[in-house]
Amino acid sequence: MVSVVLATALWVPALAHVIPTPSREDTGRGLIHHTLAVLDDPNERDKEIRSLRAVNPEWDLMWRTYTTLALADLAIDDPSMQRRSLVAMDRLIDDTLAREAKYGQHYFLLPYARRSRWVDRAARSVFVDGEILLSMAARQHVERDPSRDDEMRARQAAIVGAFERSPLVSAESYPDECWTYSDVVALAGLRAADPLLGTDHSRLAARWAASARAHFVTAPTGLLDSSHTLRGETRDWGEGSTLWMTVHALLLVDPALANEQWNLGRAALVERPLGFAYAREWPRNEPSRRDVDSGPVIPLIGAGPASSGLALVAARGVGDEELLRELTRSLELTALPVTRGNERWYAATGPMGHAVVTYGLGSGSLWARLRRGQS
Amino acid sequence: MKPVLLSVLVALAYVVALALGGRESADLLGGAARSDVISLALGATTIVLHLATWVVAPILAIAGVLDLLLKRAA
Repeated sequence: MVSVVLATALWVPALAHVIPTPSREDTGRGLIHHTLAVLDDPNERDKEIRSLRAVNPEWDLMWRTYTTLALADLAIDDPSMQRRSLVAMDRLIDDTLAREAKYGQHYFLLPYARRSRWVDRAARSVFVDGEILLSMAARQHVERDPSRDDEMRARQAAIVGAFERSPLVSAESYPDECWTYSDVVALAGLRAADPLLGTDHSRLAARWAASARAHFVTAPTGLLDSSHTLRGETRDWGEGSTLWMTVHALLLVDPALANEQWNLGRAALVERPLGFAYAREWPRNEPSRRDVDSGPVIPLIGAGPASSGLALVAARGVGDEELLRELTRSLELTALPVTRGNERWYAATGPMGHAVVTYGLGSGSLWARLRRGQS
Repeated sequence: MKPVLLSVLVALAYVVALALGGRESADLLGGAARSDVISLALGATTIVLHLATWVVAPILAIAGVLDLLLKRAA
């Protein structure tokens, strides 16, 4: 027994130094090569989409967005990969638009979206419009394609209309259900499209941020809520799986609010034991409320795989390299890394997690370009 | 030397799980069809064994060696 205690005391602190953790550049390159291999194979691509939709049709759309953002990073960084990345991005965007045109926005929403009436007369989901606009803008920042401008302007108009008609500058993703994540992704889409289309939505972004500070912040953590009604009544409190991408997108919308939320989120949700790191889904001392967004939560320690994966995106965005290394180390230890040729993936993450981690461990060149364009 | 044997068994079990397709089954945990209970169980077991191979097996191996050294010292 004494020897087991001694061995634990020797091994556990050493583990962080022993577990092989390739550099972020190598990991990111391997992950995006696996993404391209999947996208190039219609059977594999359809299999991934089917598996995403089996869990949540929202994941289908979000998988497309994260994948497009990761491909934009690759195209910006590596000119030799630009053509292949553009082809893959165009294929994803065209397929998304075709499915939306054929089946309506409900194709990317959970079935309960049909159970009640939208409050806004346009009856559109800012989640769907925002993800599509951001994806299209990302593709356009790699290479301009004026044939897509009309579609982007139509999305801009739909998003702006929904925000302008809302009493608290927050738009419906579902009937009378406004998700902070979707608001901010849509606003990031507007800001990303601004330099491409000669528009300026900085005032709308500032109005949203002021409303968020006044109405969507929840006590005692100070974190932005996850969802609320059009009148600002909180439906879901702040949780890791929505907060981290909100922080990342806020960097384009209101960097000061992004940094505030990052610091609060890091204090409330991030745990860093012995050179590893993970993110909780809910703040310490708050009860677990498992939902479709949170995914499974590991009992006792409260670690949220979805929250931890998305924390990579936020950490990369704010430039917290140390936390990024620790989160990556945890991924190596727990998510079953696989390397085959120049491809790399984590067997335990599934397609949605792969898209998030691939974007999170990418270079961040697209976001850096967009932020430079605003300064 | 029992702890050392146990650590070898953990590592062997991990190798066997991988040989049975545990990695591919672990993919299922991320969101694929949830109907194949055996594959899901294999995937979950493989992840646990992966973790055990990195965390538990080395502790057992070190403990076994320490046991031996302590006995010799005594």
